Amino acid sequence: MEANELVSSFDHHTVEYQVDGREMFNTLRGSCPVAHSDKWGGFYVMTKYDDIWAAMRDHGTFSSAKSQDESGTWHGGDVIPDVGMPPFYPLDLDPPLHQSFRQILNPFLSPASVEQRSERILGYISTLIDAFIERGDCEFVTEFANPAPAISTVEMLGLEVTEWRRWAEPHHSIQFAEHGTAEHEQAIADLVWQRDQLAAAIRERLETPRDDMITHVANARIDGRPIEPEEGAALLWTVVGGGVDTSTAFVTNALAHLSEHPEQRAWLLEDLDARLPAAIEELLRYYPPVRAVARTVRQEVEVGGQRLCPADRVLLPVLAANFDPEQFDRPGEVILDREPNRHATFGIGVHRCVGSSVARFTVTNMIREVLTRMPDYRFDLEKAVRYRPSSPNDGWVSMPATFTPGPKLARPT
Amino acid sequence: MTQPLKLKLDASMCQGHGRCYSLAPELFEPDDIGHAVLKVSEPSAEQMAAAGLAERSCPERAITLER
Repeated sequence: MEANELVSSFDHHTVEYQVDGREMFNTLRGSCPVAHSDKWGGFYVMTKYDDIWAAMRDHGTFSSAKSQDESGTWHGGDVIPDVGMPPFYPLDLDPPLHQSFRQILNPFLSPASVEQRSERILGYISTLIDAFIERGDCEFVTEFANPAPAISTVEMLGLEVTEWRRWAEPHHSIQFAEHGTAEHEQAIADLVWQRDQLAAAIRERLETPRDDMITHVANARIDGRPIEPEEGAALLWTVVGGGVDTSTAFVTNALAHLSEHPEQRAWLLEDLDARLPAAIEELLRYYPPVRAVARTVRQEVEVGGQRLCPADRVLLPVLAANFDPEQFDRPGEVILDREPNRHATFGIGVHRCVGSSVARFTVTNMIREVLTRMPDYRFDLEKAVRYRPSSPNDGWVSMPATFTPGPKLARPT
Repeated sequence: MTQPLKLKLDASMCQGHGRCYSLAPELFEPDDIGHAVLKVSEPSAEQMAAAGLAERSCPERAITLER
């Protein structure tokens, strides 16, 4: 697409973007680093790392908050176009209220808490692989990449682990159901059901406390007053959404890359313990599951020669920041020992992914265990099915895999 | 003798990414919510490479190594 045409018609919900998004941003960055698109009601899109970095940090100017119009429809928030859903907490809040909610989650998602739960997470990863390791083939997304993070998230919350699919499935299917279809309607209905279930669980834990995150949230206080069950549900719902599909998408993409680049996989395997940490960071840079976030301008500001006005919607693409040659040498190459690597995949500023410690631990160990137990795995990218272009995350519905069979480990959970 | 380089962490800018304490555990450690705590403010010659890497790796640019 010509640069001028690209500027006014830039659309991140197209097949072209899904296949070639990095190149589209490279073209824009070279010609019009802060571009205006007429799509989706009109929005600006930034493409330079430094501009995106500054905007993510400047929450006073670039707001995450949602607001309702007279008909009760929600607008604004973290994605373009608006999905019309009520706010996720603390994702769709600005400081200071943002911090009042976020701090409730911190104890469960800190490095120390990850350490405490590490054996449980490793146990689930191992048991899931045990279920197919002797077969020599699997459907990688439904049998491993989806359940591994979803089961551990559900367990951390204090929900019934055997019900994990009810919690993971709608966040997965909303990614590939077309807007306006029955499937899409069902996914929305299931997501609303989840919020209601979480509010009910909070009320139940107030009567009968347990040692879990739901109880902790149920008893939390916001600026000195007790949290409302509906607010607690909005907070827990964000944890579900953040925990179930993003890691799935990333692990599938990262391992697809290594399947397509066996020489890089071989290099990694020569010294996995020493080489894996930097490799994970580079794969996070290259395959951010959340490719872009959105903000609403609150006060007039000039960026890259463009004047942005209150109520303007702005797309801040991690996928553009992570490929800016002013920040990353040879950004289009996957350089598994790249150093330094201050990618923006977990966000910048106060909305830094609150689950990033859990995420890094989980994805690192999912990838480590696959590379160790199935080192010759091959993904069939011809038969694999991607998410729809309209999905917020960059992931896969299904990914057939074959490998040399191996033994079960029967690691205790 | 040249002035030693000082390693500084601006805690108000730290958002708890954890790159510094993963890459340079001798120099940084996590607090109870995963924000960074500086352990060494005057790195030795042997620690200088790690200190520089931590400075360049912080996504928030909260770490500086300067005179």
